This record gives sequence, structure tokens and C-alpha cells, in this order.
Amino acid sequence: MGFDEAALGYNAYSLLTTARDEYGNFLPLSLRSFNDYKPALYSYFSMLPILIVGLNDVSTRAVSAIAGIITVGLLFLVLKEYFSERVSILMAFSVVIVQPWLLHYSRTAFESNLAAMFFLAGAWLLIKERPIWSTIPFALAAYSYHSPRLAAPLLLLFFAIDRFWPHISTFRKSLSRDYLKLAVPLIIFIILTLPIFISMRDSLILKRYQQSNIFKVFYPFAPKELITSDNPWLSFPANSIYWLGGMLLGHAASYFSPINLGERIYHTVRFSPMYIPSFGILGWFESLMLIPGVLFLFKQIGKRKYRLLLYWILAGSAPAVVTWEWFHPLRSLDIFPALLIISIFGLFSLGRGLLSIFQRMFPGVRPAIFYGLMALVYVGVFIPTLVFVSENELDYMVYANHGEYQPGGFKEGIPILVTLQDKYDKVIIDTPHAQAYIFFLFYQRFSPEVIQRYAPIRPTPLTEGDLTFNFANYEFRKIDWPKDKYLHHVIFWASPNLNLDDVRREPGTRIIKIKNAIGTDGAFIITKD
Amino acid sequence: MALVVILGFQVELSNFISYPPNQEQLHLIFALPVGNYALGFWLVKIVSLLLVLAAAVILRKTIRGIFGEKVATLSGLVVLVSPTTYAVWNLHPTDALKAFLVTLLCYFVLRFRSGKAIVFGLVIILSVLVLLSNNQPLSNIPILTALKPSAAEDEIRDRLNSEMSIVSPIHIPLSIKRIAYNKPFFIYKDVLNTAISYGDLESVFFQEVNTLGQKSFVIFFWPEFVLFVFGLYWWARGHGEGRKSFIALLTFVAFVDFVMQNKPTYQQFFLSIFPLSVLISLGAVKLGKYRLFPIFIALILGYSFLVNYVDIATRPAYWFDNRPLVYRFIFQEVGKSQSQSQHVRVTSLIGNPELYCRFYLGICPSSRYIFDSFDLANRPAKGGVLYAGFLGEYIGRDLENAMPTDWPDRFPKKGLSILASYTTRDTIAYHYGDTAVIAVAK
Repeated sequence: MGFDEAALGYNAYSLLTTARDEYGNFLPLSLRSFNDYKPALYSYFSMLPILIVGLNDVSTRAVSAIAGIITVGLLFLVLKEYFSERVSILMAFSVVIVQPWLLHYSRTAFESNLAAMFFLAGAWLLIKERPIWSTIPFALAAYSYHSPRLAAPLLLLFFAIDRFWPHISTFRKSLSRDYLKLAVPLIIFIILTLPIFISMRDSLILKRYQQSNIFKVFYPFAPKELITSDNPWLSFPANSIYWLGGMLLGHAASYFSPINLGERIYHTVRFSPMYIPSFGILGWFESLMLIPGVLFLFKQIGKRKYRLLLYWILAGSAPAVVTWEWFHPLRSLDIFPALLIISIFGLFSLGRGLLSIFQRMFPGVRPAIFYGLMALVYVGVFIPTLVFVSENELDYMVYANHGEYQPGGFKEGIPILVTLQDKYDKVIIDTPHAQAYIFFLFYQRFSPEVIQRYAPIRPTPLTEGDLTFNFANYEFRKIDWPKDKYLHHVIFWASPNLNLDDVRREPGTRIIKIKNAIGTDGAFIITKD
Repeated sequence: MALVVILGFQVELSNFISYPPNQEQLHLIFALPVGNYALGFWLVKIVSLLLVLAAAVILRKTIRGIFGEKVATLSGLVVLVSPTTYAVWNLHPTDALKAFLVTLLCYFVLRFRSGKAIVFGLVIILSVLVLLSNNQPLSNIPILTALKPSAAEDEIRDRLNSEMSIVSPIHIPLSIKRIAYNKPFFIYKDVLNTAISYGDLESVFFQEVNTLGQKSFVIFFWPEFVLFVFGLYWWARGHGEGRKSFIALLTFVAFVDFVMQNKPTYQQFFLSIFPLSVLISLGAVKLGKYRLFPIFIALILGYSFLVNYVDIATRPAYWFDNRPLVYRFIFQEVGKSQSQSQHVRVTSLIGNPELYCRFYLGICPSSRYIFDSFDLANRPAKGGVLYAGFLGEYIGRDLENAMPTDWPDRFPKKGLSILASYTTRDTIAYHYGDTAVIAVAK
């Protein structure tokens, strides 16, 4: 598990047992967690699986897995709106089920995956011309993750403007109540999500945005060698408006860039749970088909359900566009269904193009022969792709991520630690991994009532970086073996950097090596009598 | 008028920066029947400029009949203002020749229009691309590497080994894995990955603000992306087979050129400038029908043009390849210090120093000059030799490319006296540091 997953799971456990989060906040809308104020709905939903099977990896990830399954079902429903023939729908659906992002983000506890499922439901209802009903899943999406708080009202706004635009000339002549009805879904959404906005009066929640937004991180935006004036807004080659404009547009365009979707891995993605080895986000062929799909979309832009796809992507990518990372899959997860559908359009356009070439080259041959050949080729590609995507996720991912995001050996070692720690006075933990404390809470289902009592001494809400704190008999610090070897009745949790030869020389010590998922040393448990 | 201004600006910039020739240009300079190499250098650049100009003119002529006069003229201008076009005529005469030949062949293919002419023309175009795109081993060509069964086999083996190293893997029978873990599928995967890299909006439109950290000239200014989107929209919704097939042909040729090269990004995308410029111009012309928009487009693109060229003038080392700069430094210093040594040894870590020696110093007899890397970390310096190389060649290479800050103090201990040093902006001799040093052994 990653530390964010562990935090979601532990807070769900805390809510289940005490109705409070790990800081003691009663039924919060946002989980303070690592001072990142995670939207809490994922944890609330996780309470049920935790109640059934206890707090573990499975119960923590269950909500994401179920959301992923529902997403597949919703995608089927959306495809039915764009494809009329059963064969076409099934073929399009077959492309859906081999998507690496669908499998990957459903196997990890991501609150954004839950939000994306709700967002998809809302978008589907908009396509069905049911904007009032769409506000419910959109609101649930907003309670699940930050991005839909901007994306959903934007999409509702675009939808309303789109319905209003043909009537703009009559609107200028007389104001009609019918036009005000267009604003009703947006108003309902705001009402449903009012508690979120009220809780955001506490500007601590906005701190997350303030820390990660593009305006703060890259100011004054231009290369420093070009800045010649104290006021970059008035500087000639380094005018901030020009460079900021480029960054914002570039961020938006990055979600249409086939290489980002199909192949390129950014540094910020590579070392995070967002990383899908061998893939960008979409499948390879789907990424290639995005441009033909966009061309098809442009041709159909006269129809509202096709324009909605464009609004969907623009609205859904807006939250990611204004943050500093160039391309952020989690923050833009809401748009991937739309991108996938556009790619499927491209795939079908390619098929029609090939049929046209086939008919010109072989005018006497029946199209059924072509369809048969294409079916053979498709099956020949589809089945290996299905196997590859599955194998990539189930096995290769563990290797590529050095053991499921946390090579520190926590999952393997903490159950061992639990069997030993009662016999010792103190546990000293030296680990290079940030927020490691959460794993010690998670894997031993540490009492939330006890942890809540430490809230006053924990790092303050504005603190960034490692937020580790000492609790119970746990002490988080660097091990200084020349001094620490004189301690007694202590367990040390040490990183693999510790020189074990020095440890072995001390009488009364016992070393237990904890291997992580790829068989390398994750940590050492050293008991000192 | 605009053409004169643009080209005049670029020529003046080239003169201002005085960037030294690269190896590609040196080969041509020495092949010219001109005794003065500096003159030969300018001749190569002028011919490259004329080739690029001719390509733009042919493009304009070709598309005039398909998209109209305004789009045709604007396309030519869009091609010429691109910093990549500036880089090509300044640095890459082969690419300039390729652009000229390809646009000329495309013109004739479209003129004749018959199926056979198109097929024949495409074969000739692709042959030109293959001949002019690569002066490197075939094994470096991306698409050929992707098609190699041996590469697929290596990849499959590495993958299976990686999965077997997992302590508790999910056991999937090898017979099931083999459905995907086979050479044809991996070749399919690698070919697609090679093709996908062509869809790189960041490199094409956002190189000014990119976070990729790659070394590449700006291909299009970022405001042109907006025009491109509108141009794509109108092109998709437009009618006429000629419009579709022209862009499709140019794009196909550019795509083939892209996957056949393993060069800096801007060179790989150079031919793509031609079809994309048409779409950008189409967008500009369509949007230009709205009031004030032409002025707005002109202002912002004019601003982009000035910003980018001022940027090139301000930070040439950021945009240009640093290797010719190092060799210019080396041979200018060597030229000044020749009397201090009997022999001169110049590093070959970053290129062919013999070419540069000939350009800067004229005659470089082998009795005096050795063009090869050296390793003074493990061997003593020979007395009377002037060494020119990177720090790592003097004091030892480092896997992290981190050279000690007290490096000047280590030279006297080796019997070396430092004459000059030059620190590059980019890392071009990885493991050997970013500082070139000229030192003489006593």
C-alpha cells in the first residue's frame, strides 16, 4: 500500500470505531490526514468493507475496486448513446475492458477513482438530457475528491450555455424564465455541495491548492535569464502574461497529446502510485486513434452529445491545468472516459477508411470478407492485449514499483513487530519513507482513541513534508548505533542502510531481516534485551 | 516585405550569435572548392537558406491551388518564422536539402494525381528520406529497432526475469503469459510506441514552456496551437478530396521521416512543419474573418517571434548544441598555446576533433596532433603534451557526473598546468563532467 491508501483505510477504521478521524474531528467532510485534507467520502464508504473483513489491504481498496466495476458498466451505457448497432457497441466495449488505467486505478485505493465513477455517472445523465438528476452523482463526486469541485460546476455551466446559445438572439429581446431554468442544475449542485464550501472557509483546506497551484510555483513564469525588469508583468521578453498563457494552454493540451496518453511517463508520475509501467494511461492503439477521433468529433460537433464530450474534457481537465504538474492522471481522471470514447471514434473511422480502400482495391469482393479479416486481426490483437494488461498489472507492476509503492517492508514486518513489541519498553523507528507512521497504525489496527489524544502535539496544519510524530512507545528518529547500543529492552526498526556488523557485535541483540515484495531488504527489526 | 524582414532578422541573428560550424557542416565546407573555410561556412548556410526558402515557395505554390492564396502565403511565412527553420538553415544543410526535395516531389505527385504516379512518387520520397535522414547505423533507426525480433526477445526475457524475482507473484501459467509474451506482439507494441511518440504536442507547440528538459528548438510558438486547433476543425469539416489528400500526404511523409530518425526532436519534426503550417494558416484565415482578430493574431505572433529570437540571442548555449562551442574554445586556445608543447592531444569524447582542428587551425599533422580521449587518472601525463579534454579525463570519471570542486588543485600534482577552462551549460560528456580544460604537461 501507499501511505495515502493506508491513511484512507486507517481514517475509515477510526470513523467506524469512534465516528472521528485520526485527529479526533467528528464526522469530518475532509480528512486532515497529512495536512492535505483528503475528501472523506471514500473513507466513509470504506467503513462497510472494514466492518465485514476488518482493516486490511482488501477492505481499504474494495471501494475503489467496486467503483471501477461500476465505471465499466457506466461506460457501456455511455457507449450505447454513441453507437447504435449491437456489434459496434460490443466492439467498443471490448476496447474499454482492456484499458490499463481502468484496471490500475481500480486496484489502488484512490478517492479520485471513486470521484471519477460518480463524475461519469453525472456525465452520462447529461448526455441523456437529465441535468437535474446529474447533480446528485456530481455532488457525490465533489465529496469524493477535489477535482470535481471545479470540474462538475464547469461542466454544468458549459451544458447550460450550450442549451442557451441558440436562443441568445431572443434572450436579448426579452428575459424569459425558461432561460433561468437552465441555471437550475448548477444551483442544485451548489446547494448540495454547500457544506464543502462552508468547510472551506477554514482556509487550511485551500492551503493544498495554494501550495500546488501553477501561479505560485512557477511565478514569474519566464526563464530567469530573460528577466530584465523588477516587474515581470511589464518586462518585454519575460512578460509573465505571455509565459503563463503558454503554460496554461500547454497544460490543457497535454491531455490531448497522444504521447502522454500512450507512452510518456513524467517524473512526478513515475515515482507515485499513478504509474502504470509500459503504458501512459490509455492503450497504445487507442492513444494513436485519438487524433482521428478528434477529427470525427469535429465533424459531428453540430450534435449536442458530441459537443458534450468536448465540454467534458475541458471541464474535467481544468483542475489539473491550474496545478503545477504538467500532466497529472489522478487530478484529470474524470476525463479519461471521454478521451477513450473519442479514441474509439478514431478506431471506427480507421475501420471505415480501410473498408473504403478495400472496396476500391477489390471492387467485386463482398464487405463481409473485409469484416471477417478485420475480426481476425482484432481478435489476434485483443486477446494478447488483455493478457498483457492483466499480467502487467498483477505481476510486473510489483517489480516496477519496487514492491507495491512501499519498499520499506512495512506490510511484511509490522505483523512480526506486533508479536514482539509487548515484551519491550520502546520501539525506535528509523525509516527513510515519508509518513511511515501511518503504516504502523494501519497494519496493527492501532487504537484510534489513543491516536486522537495525540492530535494537539502533532505537526501543525500548515506543516508540509514528513509529519511523523511519536505516539505510545513508538519513537521516530534516526538510529545512532554507537549511542543506541547501550539502550535496553528496545526494539529498533532500521533501514537497510544500517551496518549490521556493528549490531551483531552487541550481546543481547537479535536481527530479523524483513524482505519486501521483490526480495530485497526492506527493513531490519533488531531486538535489544 | 514580411519575408524580407523575417529573413533579414534571422541572418542578422546568425551573425550576432556567430555560432561555430558543426560536423555536418564541416564535411560540406571541406568538400567545397573554396580555400577560405569561413567563407565556405557562410556559403553552406546561404545554400541551406535558399533550399529552405525554395521549399517554402514550393509549398506555397502547391497549396495555392488547393487552399487559396491567403493560406498559401501565410503557410510560407509560418514555415519561415519558425525557430526550427532558422536552426535548420543555420545548422543542418542535409535537412534543408531534404525539405526541398520532399516538397518538390510532393508537388509533382499531387500534380500528376494518378495512382501509379502517387505510388512511384512515394517510393522516391521515402528513398530520399532514408538516404538523407541518417548518417548513423541502421540499428539506431527507431522504427527498425522496434521491428527487430532480437530486441523483442530481449525485452520478453527481461520482463519474465523481473516477474520471477517477485517474492510472492500471482502465478499465471507460462502458457497463458505466452499469449502476450511473444515476439510478434512485442514487436507490435514497440512499433506502436514508436508511432505514438509522433503525437507529441509538447515538443511541437510548447517547447518554449516545456518541462521535458529536452534540448530542442521551438518548432511553433505556443499561440499557434490555437490556430492549429481551429485549422484542424475547419479542415475536418471542409470538403474536397484535394484538401484531405494533400495534408494526408505531407503528414504521412513527415511521419515516416520522424520514425526513421534518431536525432534531436526539432530535427525529427522539421518536415511536420509543412503540413502543420497549412493547418495553422487555415485557422488564421478562417478566424481572420472576425473583426479585430487579424490584428490580435498579428500582434501576438509578432510578439512570439520577437520573444523567441531575443531568447535565442540571449541564451545561445541553451538552444544550440554545446559540442561545437567546446571545440571552438579548445582550438582557439590551442592556437594561442601551440608554442608551449610539442604534441597536442584533443578529446574525441564529443565528436571528431580532427574536423574542427582543420577548420580552426588549417593543417593538423598527425605527427603533432592526436585526436583521441585520454585517461590521466590512471596514466601519467606525458611531458611536452598539451591536453584538451573534459575533467573526467584528467582526474577520473564519475558515474553521477559529479566532479570535485577542488579540481584545479589536483592538476599540479599530476604535473599539469591549466591554461584555460570552459564550462558547458549542458552535460555533453556524461561521467566526465561539464568542464573542458586545456592543460600542458611540464
